[in-house]
Order: sequence, then structure tokens, then C-alpha cells
Amino acid sequence: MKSFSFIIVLFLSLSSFGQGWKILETHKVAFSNADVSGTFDDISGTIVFDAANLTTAKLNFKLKVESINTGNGLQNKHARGEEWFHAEKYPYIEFESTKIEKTESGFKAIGKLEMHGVKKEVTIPFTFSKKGNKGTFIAKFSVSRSEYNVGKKGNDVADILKITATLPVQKK
Amino acid sequence: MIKKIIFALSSGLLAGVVSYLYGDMIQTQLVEDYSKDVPTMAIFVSCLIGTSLATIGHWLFTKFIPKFGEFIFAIVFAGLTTASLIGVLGFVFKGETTEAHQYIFYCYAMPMHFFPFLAWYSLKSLFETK
Repeated sequence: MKSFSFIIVLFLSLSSFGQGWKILETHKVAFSNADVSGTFDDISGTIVFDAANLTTAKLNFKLKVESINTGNGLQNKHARGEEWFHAEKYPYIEFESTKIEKTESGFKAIGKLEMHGVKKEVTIPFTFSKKGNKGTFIAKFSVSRSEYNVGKKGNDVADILKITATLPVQKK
Repeated sequence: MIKKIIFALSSGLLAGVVSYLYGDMIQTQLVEDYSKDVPTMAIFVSCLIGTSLATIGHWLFTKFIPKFGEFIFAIVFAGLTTASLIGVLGFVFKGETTEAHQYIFYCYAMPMHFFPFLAWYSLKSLFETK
């Protein structure tokens, strides 16, 4: 019973004083390779992150596929279509972390990335800089679009997409 | 020769003025601003280059293919003008833009691509030597 009470108290203290962060409007999730580039303008998620206590850290993100913006209206429509992200059937690209670890250059989030109906385990390296009650997460990694059946294999667009996510956050 | 140069420049200038007025009207009516994406100078320079190349092309076609040169040139000029629309369709905006901005660009820029062709043929009869 004592240990149960302890867990409850611990949980409550984590929820009230835990490092919960809210993503600010100035976020940017960009993708690029030699053939295409653009952004996903709509991202939501839950961030619980304390660099000193990574065991409680959690990074969950949802990118709205409909918000893809390549800078060209026709390309956007094409990207949302069946051949590419199929926004109607798979409206979100989701990432859910299972473990956060410290690395030499920052941190890494290990978790499942689901895109176009395909779920795969990925490791996303990121940095976090904190200033007062605000902070910024920056993640840079690559994704092979063919592994997620996004677009046809061997077409004009290179397979590897570089992703750069800059997420300014504020303490909740 | 001087006549041809004046023809190329005046038709280019006419196309530039018409493009500018058309662009200004579209931007006002649809509340979009493309001045950073397509500067006014670029519109005029493109029109002048287009009509100058057309004048040179016309001279070459009619010189080397006297019988059908006029006709072939008209087809080539119209074909290249239409093909240039690919540039508009493939135009990628840098930085943050809305989708409305990207789509309205098509009705802003596409008609402009035809103005050098129209201006060139509109003024052609004035500069024709019999």
C-alpha cells in the first residue's frame, strides 16, 4: 500500500512539476533532397522532457499530411495524392518515443515512426537548448521514403529525405 | 536592320507594359503580391528578350526557308510560347507561402507568357517591308 501511495505521489508530482512542454507556433519541420523540398506546417504533440531525468521523457508528435507545403501548389496536391502520402487514407505522420538517451552531441529518441501506414523503429538524434521557461528542440535525421512506400521506387525523386525539425517550446 | 531592332524593342516594350498592367490588376483584385517573386524589371527584360529572339528567328526562317519560313516560324513561336508555361507550373516559391499564393500565381503568370507573342504579331504589320 505504501509503495502504491508513493507511485501515486510520484505520478502527481511528475504531472504537476514534470517538464511538460508546449510546441510554439514558430515551429518548422522541413524536408529536402536534391529533387524536392518543403515543410509540414501543422505539428502537434506531447513533450515531456527533463534532461536530468530522461527516464520520464516522452516525445510524441503528429504531423498533418495535408499541411505539406512544397512551395508549388500542384506539387502539394500531388504529394497529398495516392502515389505519395495519400493524405485521405493516412492523414498523419506519427512518432512515438519509447526511450530517450543521452549522446555525445545531445540526445537520441528511439521510437516508432508511422508514415503511409508503415510503422518502423527509428532513432532520431536531437539537441535541446533551454533558456528560462522556453527551449528549442532541433532534430536532424534522414528517412528513406521507399521504406514507407511513399512514392514509386526509382522515380525522379531521390529516396532519402533529409528532415530538419526545429521546435521552439514553452513550459506548460 | 534598324527597323527590325526598333520592332523587337517596341514589341517587347509593349508586351512588358501589358504584362505589368495585367499583373497589377490581378494582384489588386486577388490581394496577392508577387513583386518579390517576379520583379517588374524581370518582366520587362523577359519580354524584350522574347521579342528580340522572335525577331532574329523570324529573320532566319524567312531568309533560309523563303517559301514556308513565315508559317514554320509562326508555329515555332506559338509552340515555344506554350512550352514556356512549364516554367510557370514548375515554379517553386522559396520561404513561407500560402497555397492560395501558389495557385493564384498560375493565373498571374500564365497569360503574361503569351503577351510577347501577341505584341510581336500586333506590331508586325507596322514594320513589314514589302
